Amino acid sequence: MQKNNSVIFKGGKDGIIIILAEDANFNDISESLREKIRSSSKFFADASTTISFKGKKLAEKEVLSLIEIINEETNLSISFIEDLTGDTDAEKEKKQDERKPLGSFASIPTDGAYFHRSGLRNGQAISHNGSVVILGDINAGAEVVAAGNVVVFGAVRGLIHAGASGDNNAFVCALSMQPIQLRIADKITYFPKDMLKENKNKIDPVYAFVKGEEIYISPITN
Amino acid sequence: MGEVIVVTSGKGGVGKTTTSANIGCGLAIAGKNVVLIDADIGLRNLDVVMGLENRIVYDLVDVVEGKCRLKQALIKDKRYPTMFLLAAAQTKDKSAVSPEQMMKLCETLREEYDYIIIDCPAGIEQGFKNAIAGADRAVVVATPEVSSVRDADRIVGLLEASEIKNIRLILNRLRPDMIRRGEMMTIEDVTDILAIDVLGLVPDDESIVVSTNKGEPAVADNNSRAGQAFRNITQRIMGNEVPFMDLEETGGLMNWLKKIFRIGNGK
Repeated sequence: MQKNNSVIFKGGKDGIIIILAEDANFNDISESLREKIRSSSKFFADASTTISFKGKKLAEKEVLSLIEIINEETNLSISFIEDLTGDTDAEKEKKQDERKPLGSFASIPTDGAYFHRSGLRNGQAISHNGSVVILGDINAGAEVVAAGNVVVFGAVRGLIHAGASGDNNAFVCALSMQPIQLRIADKITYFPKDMLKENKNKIDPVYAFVKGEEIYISPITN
Repeated sequence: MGEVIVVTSGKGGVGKTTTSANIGCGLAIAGKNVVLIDADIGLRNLDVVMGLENRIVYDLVDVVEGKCRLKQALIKDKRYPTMFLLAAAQTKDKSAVSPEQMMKLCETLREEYDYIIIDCPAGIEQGFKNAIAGADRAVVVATPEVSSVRDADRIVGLLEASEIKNIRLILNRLRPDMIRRGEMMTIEDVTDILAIDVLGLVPDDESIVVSTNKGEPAVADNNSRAGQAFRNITQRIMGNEVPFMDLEETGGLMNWLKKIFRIGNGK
């Protein structure tokens, strides 16, 4: 049957390759994917792996909905997602070099923001598959990992990773920015000690964003 | 019904045991019935600081294992007849007691005593979980150092997660001269981070070392500044409002002269 051949699995050297038939429509692909996963559960052990798509070119939304299916049907923890569909070999190679860690996320930003109604203390962590709003301080030793933006109504002293699934457009905004380190997508910046001392206990709302290859910090009033 | 107070810090060596001993003695001097529990199984110290090492027959583990009656294990302090110590076992480890057993023990003790003070071990593992299991409120001890404040922050988070609502801070070993020179975290620096109420400020005081080694808690020494701080803390625990002592008093030429004069007088 045409439908059953619209998705083929292959074990690659670093993960699972899912080959999508060029001529199948997207509904057939997602149905077939669900069916195949169910019938071959052994293939999908509880492991951390990379998923690559090959063959039919997919829109970003379509990739996400396939990932959703894999998440629903397996215990697989997906560490990387690669979209190799419709690429030339040169492009594929380039993509492989730049592939981005997904953090603890198995899919990409949803619209729902997570509101946390207190601060975070040392050792406490939030990871959310979207934006995060925190009403309180994030103390040193606390961690916020978000696929989207992070807005803090308080001081940031701990670690924040915004755009953790690779979104360079993500930003971090806080009433007082004094983190030891700040991450947006795959960029990392650290704050020099003397700068932290200046910021100490001052309310000085800023936001951090990525421009080019660097993280910039700017007053929120601009 | 008595109150169970755990004295904790996360980091070791910031003064948990000294604080426990002083709060216990302070409450006993104020006429309260007090039990001090050393929850640091395997590394017991509270008995030494209290000067009761030679009186231990039964310990905490013996009690929970049913090897003796609770009353047999409570060591009465002859100097303060309303205070008792329940020592930790030295040859066992933290796993010898479970949080449920501690809870039960606290429930039994609170029926007869006004205050049960638990000296928590350093760390956040089993010993910590045992120590906080039966507690109504917590006293977090920190020194004005970044590492101590970090650990205290972790501890406060864990206490909040365990539904202990009344958490207060004792800032220990303050050096007003260093704070003035900007070399030590200020009280505001610490409270900005920890965001909990201050129960007491204890100045760094050499006499604490002396009293600890002698097994005589400083709270009973009217000449000790740290002792004065602990007397204030005791009052606040009992619900009385006492202004914070002026830490600056230790500095300045006049005070320095006074100090020398006092030492000279003592001899």
